[in-house]
Amino acid sequence: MSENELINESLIKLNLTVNTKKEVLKAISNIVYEEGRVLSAQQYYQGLVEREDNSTTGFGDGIAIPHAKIKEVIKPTISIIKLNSPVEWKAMDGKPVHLIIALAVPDSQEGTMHLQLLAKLSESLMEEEFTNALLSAETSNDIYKIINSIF
Amino acid sequence: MNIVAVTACPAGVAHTYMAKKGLQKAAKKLGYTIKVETQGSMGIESEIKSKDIEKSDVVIFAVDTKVEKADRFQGKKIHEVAVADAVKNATKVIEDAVNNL
Repeated sequence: MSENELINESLIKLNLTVNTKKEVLKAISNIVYEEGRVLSAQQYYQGLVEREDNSTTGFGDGIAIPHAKIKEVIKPTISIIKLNSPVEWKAMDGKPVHLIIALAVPDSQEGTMHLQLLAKLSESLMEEEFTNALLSAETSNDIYKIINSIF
Repeated sequence: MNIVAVTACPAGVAHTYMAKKGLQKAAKKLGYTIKVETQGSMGIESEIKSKDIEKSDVVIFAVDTKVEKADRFQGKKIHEVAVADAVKNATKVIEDAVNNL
C-alpha cells in the first residue's frame, strides 16, 4: 500500500457501537491518530467538533462527512466508520447517521493533489450510485475499493 | 436559461464541491446550462469569466463565506443561499433563483 494513499483498510471500521455523535468523533480521532496520520487525537477531535458546531456535516440519508483542516495533520486522510445503530447528528434531513466519512486535511496549501482527490470524493457523495455502494458494502476491503474506484 | 454560480465554505474541503455537484445535477435536470466556480482550499477553480457573467440570466452564490472577486458580478441580481442549501436541495435553490428574476 503506497504511503501516499489517503485511505487504507485500517482507517475503515465496521460494526462500531457508539451512542452519540461526540463518541463517533472521538473514535475517528483515535483511529486516525493510531494510524499516525495526525499529531494529536485531541486536536483533531476539537477540529471536528468546531466544524460541526459551525454547521452540520450530516448531508442526508444517514451519511455524514465530518472534517477538520488543522496544522496537526501529518497526512491527508479519509477514515470511514459504519455504526451498528445510527446516532443523532442534527443532519440536514433530520435523519440519524450510520455511515461516517471523516476527512483530515493539513492546514497548508501543500498537497494540491490530495485536495483534488478529496474534492472528487465530495462530489461523488452527491451521486446516489456511489453512496448506495458505500451503504451496502459489508467489508473494509469493499469500502476501500469503492473509494479508490473514483480516484 | 444561463446560470453562473459560486460555491464556497470556510474549510473549502467538502461542501464547496458537494454544492457544485448538486447545482450541476439540478441544472441538468431542469434543462438549464450552468457554470459553477468553486472557491475552496485550492483557491478559485473554474473561474467565471466576465463574458459568462454578461451572458448569464441568473447568478447564484451558495456560500458560507465571503466571495472572492465579487466585484465581477456588480450590476447583476444575485441569489445568495447557504452552501448547505445547494447540498441539500439544489433544485429548489435554482427554482427560487429563477422565480425571483
